[in-house]
Amino acid sequence: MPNRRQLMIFAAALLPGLPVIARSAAAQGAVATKAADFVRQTGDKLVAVVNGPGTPQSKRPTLTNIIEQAVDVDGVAQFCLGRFWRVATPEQKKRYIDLFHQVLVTNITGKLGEYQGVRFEMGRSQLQDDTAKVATVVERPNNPPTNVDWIISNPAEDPKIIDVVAEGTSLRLTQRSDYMSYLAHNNNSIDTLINAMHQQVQQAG
Amino acid sequence: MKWSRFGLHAVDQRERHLDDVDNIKKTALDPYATFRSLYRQHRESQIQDARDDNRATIPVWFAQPGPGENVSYSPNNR
Repeated sequence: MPNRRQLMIFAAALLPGLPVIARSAAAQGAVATKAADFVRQTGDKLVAVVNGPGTPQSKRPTLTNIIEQAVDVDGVAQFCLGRFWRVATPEQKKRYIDLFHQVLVTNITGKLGEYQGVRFEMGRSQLQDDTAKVATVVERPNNPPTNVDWIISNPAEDPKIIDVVAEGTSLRLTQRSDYMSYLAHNNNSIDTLINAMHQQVQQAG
Repeated sequence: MKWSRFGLHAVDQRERHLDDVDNIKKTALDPYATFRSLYRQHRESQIQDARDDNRATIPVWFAQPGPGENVSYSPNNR
């Protein structure tokens, strides 16, 4: 049983650590706020394009710009190729990343129609390891509100979106499952995957 | 009555999500794997939500306050 004196010594030993804890908590809060600001700005830009005038095809260049600025597309592409990234040749990597950029924009352009009248509200933002998770609620006319979390890499210096989690389903995990399963059914041939992606982009125009 | 309502609800839900289903079939290289992944992730998050739900509940053996019922006990009422 520690006596009072021992407790006092223990508390005195803890005291110098307190400002450090307080300071790092404040720094974390600042980073989380920065990540939230980044998501709000990006979201505002996206909503402006989606609800703005013009056809989906005419919106494509603006949308591409926003995505290239805000999303770490190369990083997401690498993630989605999973263990095959390490065995891909430099040439394959280049073609794959190139196509991934186009597939991403094509998929988003294809969904523009459904998002007419979209708006969003910011939720809380928290740090997880070296990423930040920013919660939002996305509302579309005639649809129940959806919880969408944005995962931000490097939130302190150069924030980029690396994942979008809608109602618990992660976009990049789903994409990776898709590619991994396709590769498993096609002799693990990266070239076949690249050709399939090429076809996808061509079909969408 | 309850079951027919359930049926209508199911049809309504199905109609609502048909567009999403079409979309996934269009954009996925392996739609089956994509649906499987979506289902598993969604289920996982539902379970996690249930685990994180720390609302205080009243044990079943405790007197349950009914709707609009006066819970305070006073011997004069009996």
